[in-house]
Amino acid sequence: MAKVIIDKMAMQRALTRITYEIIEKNKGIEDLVIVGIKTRGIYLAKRIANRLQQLENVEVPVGALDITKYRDDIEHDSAKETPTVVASGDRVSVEGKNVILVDDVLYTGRTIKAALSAISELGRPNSIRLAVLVDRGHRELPIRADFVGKNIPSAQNEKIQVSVQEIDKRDAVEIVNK
Amino acid sequence: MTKRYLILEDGSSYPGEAFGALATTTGEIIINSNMMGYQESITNPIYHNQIIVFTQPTIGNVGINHKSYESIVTSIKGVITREYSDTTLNHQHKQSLDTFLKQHEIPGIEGIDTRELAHRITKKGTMKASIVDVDDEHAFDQLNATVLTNQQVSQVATPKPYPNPGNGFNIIVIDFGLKQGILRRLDERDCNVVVVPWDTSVERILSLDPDGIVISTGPGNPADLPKSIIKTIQSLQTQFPLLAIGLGHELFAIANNAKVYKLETEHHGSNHPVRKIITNQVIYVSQAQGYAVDYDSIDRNTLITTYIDLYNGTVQGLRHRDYPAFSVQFSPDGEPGPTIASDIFDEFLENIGSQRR
Amino acid sequence: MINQNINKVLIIGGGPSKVGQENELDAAVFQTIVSFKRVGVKSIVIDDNPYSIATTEIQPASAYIEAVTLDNVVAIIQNEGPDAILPTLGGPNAIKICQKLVEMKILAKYSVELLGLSKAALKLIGNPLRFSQLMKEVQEPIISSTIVHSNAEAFDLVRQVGFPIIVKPVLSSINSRRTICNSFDDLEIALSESFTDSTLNRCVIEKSIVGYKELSIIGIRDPNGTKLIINGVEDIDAIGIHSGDSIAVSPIQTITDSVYQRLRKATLNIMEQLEIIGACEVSFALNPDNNDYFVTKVTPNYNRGFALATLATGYPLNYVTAQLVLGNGFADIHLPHAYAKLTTFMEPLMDRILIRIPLWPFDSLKTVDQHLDQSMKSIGSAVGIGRTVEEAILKAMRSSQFNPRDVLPNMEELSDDEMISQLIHPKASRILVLIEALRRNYPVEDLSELTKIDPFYFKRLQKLLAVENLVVKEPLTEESLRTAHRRGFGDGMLAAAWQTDLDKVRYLGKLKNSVPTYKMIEPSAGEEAHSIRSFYSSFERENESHQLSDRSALVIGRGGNRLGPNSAADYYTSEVLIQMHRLGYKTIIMNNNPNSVSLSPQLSDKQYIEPIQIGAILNIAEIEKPAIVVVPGNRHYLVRQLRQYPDLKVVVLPPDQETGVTLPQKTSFAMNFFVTKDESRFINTVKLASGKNHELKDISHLAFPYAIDDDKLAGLITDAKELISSSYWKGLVQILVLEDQGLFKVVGIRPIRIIETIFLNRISNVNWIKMLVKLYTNQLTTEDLNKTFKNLSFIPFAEMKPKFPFIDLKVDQEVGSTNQEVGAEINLDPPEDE
Repeated sequence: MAKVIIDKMAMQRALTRITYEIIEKNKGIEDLVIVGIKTRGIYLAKRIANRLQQLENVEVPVGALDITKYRDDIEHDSAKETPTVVASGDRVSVEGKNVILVDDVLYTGRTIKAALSAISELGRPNSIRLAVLVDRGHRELPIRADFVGKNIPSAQNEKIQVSVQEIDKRDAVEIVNK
Repeated sequence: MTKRYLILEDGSSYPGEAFGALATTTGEIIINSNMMGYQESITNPIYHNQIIVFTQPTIGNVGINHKSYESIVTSIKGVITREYSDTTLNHQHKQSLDTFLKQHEIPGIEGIDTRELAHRITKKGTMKASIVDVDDEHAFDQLNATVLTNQQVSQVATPKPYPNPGNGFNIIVIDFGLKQGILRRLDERDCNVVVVPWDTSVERILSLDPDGIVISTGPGNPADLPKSIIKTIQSLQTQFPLLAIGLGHELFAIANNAKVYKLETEHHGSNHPVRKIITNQVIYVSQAQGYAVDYDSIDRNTLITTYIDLYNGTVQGLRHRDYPAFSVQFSPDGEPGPTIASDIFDEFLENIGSQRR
Repeated sequence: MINQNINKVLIIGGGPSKVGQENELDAAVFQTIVSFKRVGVKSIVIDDNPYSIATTEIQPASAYIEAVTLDNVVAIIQNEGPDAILPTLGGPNAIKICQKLVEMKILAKYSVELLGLSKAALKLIGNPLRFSQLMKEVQEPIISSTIVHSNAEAFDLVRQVGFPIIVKPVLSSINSRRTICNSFDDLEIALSESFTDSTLNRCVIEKSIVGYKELSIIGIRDPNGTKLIINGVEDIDAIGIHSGDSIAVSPIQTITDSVYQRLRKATLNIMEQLEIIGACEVSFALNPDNNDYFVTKVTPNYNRGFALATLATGYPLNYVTAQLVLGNGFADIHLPHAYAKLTTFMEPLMDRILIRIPLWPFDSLKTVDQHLDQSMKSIGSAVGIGRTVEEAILKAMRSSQFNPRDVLPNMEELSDDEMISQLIHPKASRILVLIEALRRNYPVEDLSELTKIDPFYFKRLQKLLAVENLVVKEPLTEESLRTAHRRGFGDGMLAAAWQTDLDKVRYLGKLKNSVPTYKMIEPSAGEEAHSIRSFYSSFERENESHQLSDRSALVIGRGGNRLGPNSAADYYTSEVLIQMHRLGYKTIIMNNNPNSVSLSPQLSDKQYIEPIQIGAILNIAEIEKPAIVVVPGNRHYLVRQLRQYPDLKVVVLPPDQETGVTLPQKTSFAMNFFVTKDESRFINTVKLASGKNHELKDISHLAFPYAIDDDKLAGLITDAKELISSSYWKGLVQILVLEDQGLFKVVGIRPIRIIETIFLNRISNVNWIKMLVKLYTNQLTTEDLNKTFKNLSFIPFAEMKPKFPFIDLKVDQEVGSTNQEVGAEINLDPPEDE
C-alpha cells in the first residue's frame, strides 16, 4: 500500500519555498553551486537551479554527485576513486563557493556524510548547506538539513518513495509499507 | 418601471430602469468583466463607494445565497447592468438581488448599453458617476461638486478584533476591508484566526502570539493611509511569515520602498494571463485593482518580483529577499473567479512550518 | 516554438454529413489548412464529402477524394510520407482509424507523428473503461454502475448513492429493461423483476441523473501547459434529453460562481492529465438540489460544441488550435490584425447571450418517433445572439422557423392534457409548448417541477409574454415598438401582430429612432480594441458596424440545416462568397447556423449572425447598401419579398425555379448547357438514377459519364438548344432526357440544381459557380467562354450517392427522396468489372 504524502502541487511548492529560503539564507545567489546527489537529487537540484534562474536571470551551476563509492556502510571491491562533480559534461568547481547539496530523502545521514567527504576532496568551499525534499528522521550521524521540503516522521519498516517527473513520469512522495 | 439615470463626470447620461433601492448616490464607476459571481463582487469591501458596471449581460440569475457573501455589510454605490433578472420563487428561502439591494439602500439600473459604457470607461479611465432621478444640470453640478472620501479603509474595516477559532496555526489577519474568501481559505486549512483592525499596534499583535500575519485586501489608495501602517509592516515582516493581499500587497511594497500608482483604467476580472515567474507557469486569477506597484521602483536587493500580468505588465506578486514575507496583488481565494492560486495559502502556512522546524 | 520537423500533415476529413455532423468539421479542416499555410506547413486531406470546401480550396494534388477508411489512409501515408497526422477534425470515424494506426504500429513504422491528441487522449475516445480510469486518476466523480448479486447488496449500495437509481438486468433475456426507482419499495420490485430477467441472476445499479442540469465547458491548452477556458454552455433541457436536442445557452446562466469554478477546475485538471494540446470539451451533470456534479463525457476531438464556442466568443479556436498542434504556444501565435494583442492568451469574455435551438427533420420524415429522448434526432440548429436572454431566445426562434415568415406560431389548439403530456415528454415544439403553458398561467414552480427546466428560463419567457401583451394592447406606439425591438421581436412579427405591412413598421422605427445597432462579436467584452468583422444586432445606443464598401455583395446564408440539399447549399454559398470576393466585391454573409462552413471568417469580409428574415435583411442592407444581394438556393417566399424592394439588386443562384421549368415524372439522364444571351454551349451528360423507377423527385444519385453514341447525342443537342432558345433560362441549364427502349426524348428543362452544379465542378476542370457568378455580374466575356470550353476536360469517372438518416433516426425506410438526404458521398474510382 502506497500513500501519497506529497503530491505534484505540494512538491512544486516545496521546491519553490526551498529556492526562496536559499536566497534568504545565502543573501543572494552569488558564488552559488547546486550539487545534486544521484539519482533523484540531481533532478531536484536542476529544478531549484531553474527556479533561481527564472527569478534572478542568472545561471547557477549544477553538479551531479555519485557517492556510491564513498558510503562507509557499503563494502567496495575497488579502491576509492576520485569523485567528480559534473555539470553537462564539464567539471564544476566548488573552490570558494557556497554549495547547496540536494538530496531527495534525508534518513541516517550516511549519504550526506559521504557527499561531504567527496566534496572536500574536490576543493574547499566557502560553505556547504543541505536541502532535502523529505526528512524522515532516524539519523545515525549529527547531520541536519538547512532546507527541508517536508518532515515525514516514519517507522523504520516504512519506505519513503520519491518519484520525479523526469524519470518516473510523475511527481510524488509516497510512504510504502514493506 | 421607474426610469432613472446614470450620469458620468464626462457629461454623458444613460437612462435605464431602476431596481434595488431608489437612492441617489455618487461614486467612482468601474467595469467588472467577470462572467459570474455578481454577489461576490457586490459584497466585496474593495468596491466601497464604487458603482459597478457588469459586462456580463444578465445579473440576478441565481439570487443571493449565504455562501457567496464576501462581507456581511455591503457599501457599494450602485449596480449597472444590461438586464436584471429576478428568479426567486415563493417556496425557496433564497433572497433576490433586488431585495438585497433594497435592504442595503443600493440603487441599480438595468437596460443600459453596458458595452458602450465599457468602451467609454476603458478609453477615458475611471471617473465619478451618480445614479439620479433626473439628469438635469443640477444633477451634474452635484456630481462635479462631490468630493469622494479617502477614508474608505476606516469605513469598512472591523473596528474590533474577533476570532475564528481553529486548531492549526495562529494567524493574525489585519483587516483593511477584508473579503471573506481569505477567511474561508484559512478556515479550510484549520487555522486559528484572529482578525484585528487595520490600525492595531505591533505590540498588540505580538501579544496575540502569532504564527503568521495576513495583511488583507481593502479599498482605496494605500497612500491615504497613515505612515504608522508602513512601520507596522516593516516590523512584522522581520518577525513572522507574512502574506499580504491586494491593498496589503501595495502596502507591503511601500513598506519596502517601492512606489504605487493609480491605474488609468481599473481592472476587475479574471481573464488576464499571469505569469508565476519562478516556475514560468501561466495562470488565470481573480483580479480587482485600481492601483499597481511601479515595477521600476522596486529595489531588487530587497524584493523579488514573483508574479507579473502578461497583458498590462503590472506587478502581481512580490517576495522579500531576507524574510519569508510575500504578497500578491490578485485575490488568491478567487470569489469570484479561478481558485487555482489558492495554494498561496498553503505556501504561506508551509513558510510558517519551515520557520518553526 | 513550432516543431521544425513537421512540414506536411495529413488531415483526416469527416466524410459525408450525417445526424450530428453538418459542415462544422469541414469548416474546421478548412480553417486549419489556412492556419497551417501561414507557417508554411502543407496539408493533405482525405474526404469523400462532395460538399467539402477544404478539399476544394486546397491544391488539387493534396486532396484525396476517397472514402475515409483505414486502407485509404494507410495508402496515403505510404504514398505521401506525411510528417504528421491530425485525426481530431474527422469525427469518430477518424479517431477509430487513428486508433487502429497506432495499434498496428503504422504511425511508428512510417514515423508519422500524432498531432492534437496524446496517446492517452486517443485511447480515451469511445472507451468507457479508460474514461473511468482517467476520472479516478484526477479524482473527479462519475456515474459508476455496480453489479449486484442480491437484494442486500443492492440495498447497501443504494443507501450510499441515494435515490433515484436505475436498475438493469445483466444479460437480459428480454429487451434491455431500465427501471428508475425512487424508493426502497420501487427498488424491491425492480430487483425481483430484473433478477428474474437476468440470465446470470445479476443486476446493474446506477445512479439516475435524469433531471440534472447538463453543462459543458471547453478549454484549450498549449504545449507549455498553459490552460484557459474558452466557453461554457448550459442546456436548458435537463439530462434525459440528448444534449444535441436541447436548447443550449452560452454563457452558463443558472449556477453560482463557486459551482462554476469547481467545474472549471475539473476541466483544466482533466486536460492536464490527458496532456491535451488544443481544445477539449468536458461535459457535466449537476444536481441542482445540492450542486454535486458528475463528469459525463470528455471530448478531445472537434465537435459541434467547439463550433458553437467559436461563434459565441469570437475566439479564433480553429486557427489557434492548428498552431498549437504544430508546437506553438499561445504567446508564439500571430493572429490576423483584426484581433487585439494577446487575444490567444486571454480568457474570452462574453457580453452577449447566444442561444441555439435544434431543428428536427420530422416534417420530411413523418414516421420518426417525434419524442425527444436520449438519442439525438435533430439534424441542424440555428442560433440567436442578443444582449439579453429573451432577445437571444426570440432571435433563435425566428432563425429556426421553417418558413421565412416573421411570425411566431402559437399552440392555442393544444388541449391541457396534451400540453401536460408534452411538458413531460417533449417534442420538437418544446419551446412553443413552454410559452403556451405560461400563457395559460401555469405556475413557474409547477412547470419547473414538470420539465426540470430552471425557473430562470420561465421567468425570461414570462418577460417575453409581457412584451407580447404590450404589443397586442398598444399597436403602433413608440413604447410597444421600442420594447419589442429590445426583446428580439422582428418587424415582420410586429407587422403581423398589428395587421399592417412591414414598411409601415419600419417607417415607425425610423421615425422614433428605434433602429438596430450592431455589436461586434469579440472575446473581450468591450475591454480591448478589436476590429473583427462579425456582428449581431441589438437595439441599443452604440452601433459598431458601418458600411464595409461601396461595392459589396450581401450573400444570404441558408440558416439552420435541414434534410434535403442543405449542406450542399451551404457549400454552394461558400463558393459564391469566394467567387464574389475574387471578382472584387467585398463580401458580407448573413447566416445563423453555427455549423455552417460559410461562416468561416476566412470566406467572407464580414459576417452578420441574424435571423434570415426580410426585416433583418433590410436592416443590414440599410447599413451596407450592397451593390448586389445574392440568394443561393431556392427560397421562393423570401425572394418574392426581396423583389418588392427594387433598390436591392437581387440575384438568385441557381435561378429561381418557381416558374418556367418543365419537369417530367421520369428521366434517365441530363444534358448540361451553359447559356448566355447569345448562345448555348453543351457541357456534358450525367446519368440520373434513383431507387424508384427514375422518378425525378427521387433522383439524387448522379453518375458520369452517361454513355450515348455521338450521332444520337448530336441530334439531342440540336433539340435541346432549340428548347433552350425558347426558354428564358441563362447560366447553367439542364435538359432532361428519357430513354425508352433505345429511343431518346427531351422531356424537360430546368436550371442546374445545386448538387448537380457541385458534381459538375467535381468532375470537370472548371468552377461553374465562378462562371455563373461572372455571368450574373456581367463580367463574363466571350473570350472567357471560348477559353473555358476550349480547355474543358473531365475526369474519367465519378458517381455521387445520397446519404439518408434512416438508421440513425430508427426509420424503417431504405429508399429516400431528395428532400430526405442528409449528405452525400462521391466516388471517383471506376467500378472494376466494367
